[in-house]
Amino acid sequence: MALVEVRNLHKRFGAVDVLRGVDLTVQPGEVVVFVGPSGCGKSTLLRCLCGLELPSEGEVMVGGVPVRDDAVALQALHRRVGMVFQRFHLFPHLSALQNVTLAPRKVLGMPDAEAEALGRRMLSMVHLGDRADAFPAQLSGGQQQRVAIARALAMKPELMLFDEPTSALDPELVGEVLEVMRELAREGMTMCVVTHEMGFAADVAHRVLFLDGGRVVEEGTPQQVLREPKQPRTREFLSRLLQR
Amino acid sequence: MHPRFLRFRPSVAGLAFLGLLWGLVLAPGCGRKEAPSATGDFRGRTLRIGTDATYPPFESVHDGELVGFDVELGNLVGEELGARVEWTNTSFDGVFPALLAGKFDLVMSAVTITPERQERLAFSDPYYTAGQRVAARQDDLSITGIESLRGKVAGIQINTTAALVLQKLPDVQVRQYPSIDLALQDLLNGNLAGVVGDSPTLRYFIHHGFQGLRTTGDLLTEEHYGIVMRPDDVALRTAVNGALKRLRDSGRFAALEEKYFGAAAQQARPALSGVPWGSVARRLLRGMALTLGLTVLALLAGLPLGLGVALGRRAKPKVVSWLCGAYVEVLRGTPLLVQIIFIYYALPQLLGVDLAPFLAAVLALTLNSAAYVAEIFRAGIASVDPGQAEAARALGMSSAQAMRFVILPQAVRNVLPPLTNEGIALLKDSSLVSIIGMAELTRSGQELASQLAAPLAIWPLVAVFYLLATLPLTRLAAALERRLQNQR
Ligand SMILES: Nc1ncnc2c1ncn2[C@@H]1O[C@H](COP(=O)(O)OP(=O)(O)O)[C@@H](O)[C@H]1O
Ligand SMILES: [Mg+2]
Repeated sequence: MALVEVRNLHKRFGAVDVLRGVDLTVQPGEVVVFVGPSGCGKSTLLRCLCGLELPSEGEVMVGGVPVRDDAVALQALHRRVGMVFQRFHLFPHLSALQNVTLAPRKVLGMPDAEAEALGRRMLSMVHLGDRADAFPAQLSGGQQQRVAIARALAMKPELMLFDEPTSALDPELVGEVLEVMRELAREGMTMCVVTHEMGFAADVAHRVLFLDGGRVVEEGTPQQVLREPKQPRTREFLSRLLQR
Repeated sequence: MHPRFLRFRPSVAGLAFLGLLWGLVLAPGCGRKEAPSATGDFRGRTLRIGTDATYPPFESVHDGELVGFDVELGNLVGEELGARVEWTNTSFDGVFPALLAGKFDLVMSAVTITPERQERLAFSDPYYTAGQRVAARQDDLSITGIESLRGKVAGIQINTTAALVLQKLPDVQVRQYPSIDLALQDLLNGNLAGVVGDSPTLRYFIHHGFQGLRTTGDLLTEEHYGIVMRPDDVALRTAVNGALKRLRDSGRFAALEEKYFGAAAQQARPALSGVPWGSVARRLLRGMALTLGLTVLALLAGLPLGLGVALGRRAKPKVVSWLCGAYVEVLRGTPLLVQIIFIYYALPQLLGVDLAPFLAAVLALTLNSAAYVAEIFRAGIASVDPGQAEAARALGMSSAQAMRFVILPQAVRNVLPPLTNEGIALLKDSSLVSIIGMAELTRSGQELASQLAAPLAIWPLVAVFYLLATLPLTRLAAALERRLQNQR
């Protein structure tokens, strides 16, 4: 059974049609990369997948459960889907370890000792085992984003969403975050990634989707979409991306 | 001007709301609850007497004790009636509302019997005949009486019958002062041409601390002081008049008059050699303790209440957020003074609970500060990056958990400086509770200044005590802020 099934998803903000009929299926273990021009609705699509936004029309199913406007059901969905934001959104008043253990303790009711052990494991996984007591302000952008990934992973999600996780980073810090994501993919995590890192997409993604104007314009293997795009809009976008 | 007045932004809705409640309270039929003794037998009962003890020689505070002509007379009346007497010292603005609200049974505070007052209040037979007189500087020979004040500025104590005298001379510019000693000080400083006041009180002050002044001209009025009661306390009035008559007949009344106003009294009481700093400091310390106590209690209760209101404004149910919004509007949009008076005088009649002045003061300050605290928290919460709440939600936290563990801890850092300001503002604004008889720091200063006839010595000292009281608050806040900063 597919982990994610999106059918004819529309999302409007007032009069603005942001998503205009998106269909998407993600199988367990699949890594899907979304590319597309700024403002085409990539973030909105991810936010619909994790229940931070509700569909205006159409259906989003995660693990067979439809996303609907119900506080308890949404909280259950949030627990199963991890989200990594472009701007990290670490909790600045908590140490790296506390950032990671907060949700397991408060949401899952995990005992402190167990949560701490889990937190330390998660931090080691993102190669930050030695920075557990550092506060976000004492960490570099790349380190902060890795803590954010560890924080999401600590909830043992079935699906991880990444919304341009490296675009707020200095170029020399991008690699360390992508490396962690590569390792996750190798371990079989199901991932939906919005990124403009074409190297990462080419190496890691099973599938690449090109979005424009709130629709999926082209879809295929990285080779198909990134090397031999059929649609003129995809070609235009990729050539502009390469010129940067 | 008072800070809380400066912060007062009139809100039509708020005023209308308070006005409505007030109208309900003062509506006919909404009387006080305690029935007057119909029998006229007051033996074993307690007579509660209100006075404003800043008016020597009639009433003042000396070494923490109420003293003066009115005080001794009131005690004698109680003795005649076989009743216990309980005095409450409160500001003159507050004595009549308190009497009408049933907080006292009598007011003895050198109150002149006037037709206006007789419309709302009942008076005993007159017990003292006084008159208004003009006081002027000794070196200003141009002032020879009331006529010579024309075209000039004259001072009076607020709400006193001196205003009636000066009404007849519209070309005299009148300035009102909260107590007579401040008017006399301004006269001494050259800002006034004269002060119009009760002749015996003027004499007392000139004798004690204002040797540079003199009284001049004839007595302008013949005024009769009466003991004030509620109009429906007919039996009490009869009993008090009977007691006054018996005191006159027995000669005890004359002895009292001789003690306070006779020739011997004028000579025997030398001008104070200086300010008794030790006892002054003790009184001010007690006042400061009360001020600090009121402020700390109101803050301790107002912080959680304000936080609750701030959270309530974000609550989903429309009723809750509307009510919390209305609460803030009403309490921020009406003056604290009005709220204090409302809670002390009107609430008991609305709800049938009688609040002790201290409780009423804490309650009023708590409710008022909670409104400001709520706004501070609201701003503090709004200043936290919305991404924080999203990250918390995306981790599966409920909105309550997100608020408790993610948003509030960050908001608290943002609100510490404005909360400190609120604490200091509250400390200073707490002086307004003197209207319901709390002898906090400002009121203690007022009493001392008039008792010692030395406003210039007392008020700077009061300021120093306020400063001493605010210092711990600012130190505490600074230490907290440092601790939170270090956590980053
Ligand atoms: N909460 C919102 N309210 C109104 N408009 C929104 C909201 N979120 C996104 N949008 C609009 O939707 C469009 C797509 O946004 P987004 O999904 O962030 O695009 P992308 O991530 O592809 O750059 C943009 O025009 C944006 O302004
Ligand atoms: Mg985006």
